[in-house]
Amino acid sequence: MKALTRALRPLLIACAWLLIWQLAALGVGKEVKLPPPQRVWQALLSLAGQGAFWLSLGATLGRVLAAFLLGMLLGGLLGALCAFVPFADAFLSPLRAVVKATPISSFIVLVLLWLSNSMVPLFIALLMVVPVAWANVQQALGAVSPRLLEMAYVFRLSRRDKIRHIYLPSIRPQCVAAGTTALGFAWKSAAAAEVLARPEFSIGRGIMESKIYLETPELFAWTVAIILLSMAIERLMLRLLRFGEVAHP
Amino acid sequence: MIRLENVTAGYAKKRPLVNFNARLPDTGVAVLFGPSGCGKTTLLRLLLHFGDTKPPADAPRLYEGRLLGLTGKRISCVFQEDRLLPWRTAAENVALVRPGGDAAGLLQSLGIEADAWAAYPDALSGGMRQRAAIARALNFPGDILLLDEPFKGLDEATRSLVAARLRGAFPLTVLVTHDPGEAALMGASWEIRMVLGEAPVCGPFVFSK
Repeated sequence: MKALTRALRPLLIACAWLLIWQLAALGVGKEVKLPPPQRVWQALLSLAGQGAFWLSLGATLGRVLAAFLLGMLLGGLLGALCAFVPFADAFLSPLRAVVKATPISSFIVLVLLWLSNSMVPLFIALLMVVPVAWANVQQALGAVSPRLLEMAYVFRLSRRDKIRHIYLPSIRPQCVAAGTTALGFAWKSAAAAEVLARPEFSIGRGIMESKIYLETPELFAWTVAIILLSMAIERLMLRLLRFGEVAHP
Repeated sequence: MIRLENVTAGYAKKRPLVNFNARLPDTGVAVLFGPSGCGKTTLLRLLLHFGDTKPPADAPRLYEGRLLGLTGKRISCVFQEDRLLPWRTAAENVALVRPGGDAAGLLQSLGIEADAWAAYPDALSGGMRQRAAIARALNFPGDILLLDEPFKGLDEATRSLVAARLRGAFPLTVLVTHDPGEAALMGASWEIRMVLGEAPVCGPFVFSK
């Protein structure tokens, strides 16, 4: 009985939210402003019947993943460099601060002048991921226990062993948390950039076109697709990371 | 003989050792007594990091004087805290300092049974963690073993077992303790008695209750 309640609970909560959405749509009364759930579902089904929809999902997913992986790698390297080389930190930290503080729309408009339309979202997502990975890796490396490092030092562990046995496991939890945050940023910023850059196949172009034709249910359907996709990818990433973990909680 | 001659050592803001003189034999067990704050830990860490080409940023520095007889010596250590890697098992922690050594045998000889070898430190009792740290120090091939209060958290029977295993394991053992009984248990032959604000006294260790 208890197991059943536990299994049913998320389902009931989801139903409650759908009901709230439905009531809100009834209250607004205009599909263009807020379509009811079943209209969005229909729109999603009709989109799913088109090859372009799947191509767009695939292309956006490819951009987000490429930006995420490249950004985590680049940010991690910059974080490590700044953690160990004080001059690099002093020299590069203003750059990080500027990238972090610049509104994403300024970047999108600027990057549109430099790159082809399909590369803009990738680059923008990269710009969002890098500072997150950079700051977290740098901070986590700075917080590695000096006592463990002294131990490693006394027992003459090689640099490779220090990285493998001390640095990487120490920074791992913070990196996983940063990765989750960065992945969310990558989705949102890539979609925003796609709306402005409108590459041939992209979720952002779909969103923009539904707006132009006042197809609000379709706009919602594209958004639902992004949400589902990003949730699936986040789950997959966490599962892969847990798989790589060596039995330790 | 290891000799400290007119040593002034410590940190940028504090120098716990000033004009310090002491001698240590090359073999046997030397015990280091002294009240807290007299510079025991500084002395221990000075020995620990002597001869390092690039010591850790927070290691004590030798400002004046000479430290003789330590060149080329490899030093193993049991720290005051266990300093085990939380993400490695007891056996992996021991093997860390010498892959291919007999980590399991060492743990067994210190009274840690097979079912705990694959346990992570947070699943072990304080006494077991301490013994795993001792096993790690024993696994490291060195000339000198530094022990900073190694019997903390161990009961009477375990102390004897651990002391028997530690005695003679390294050519020279330096033991920091407050308890002359522990020094006797380790078979100490030499003592350095540090006194707050005075010169230390070095000489043969004689056990008296």
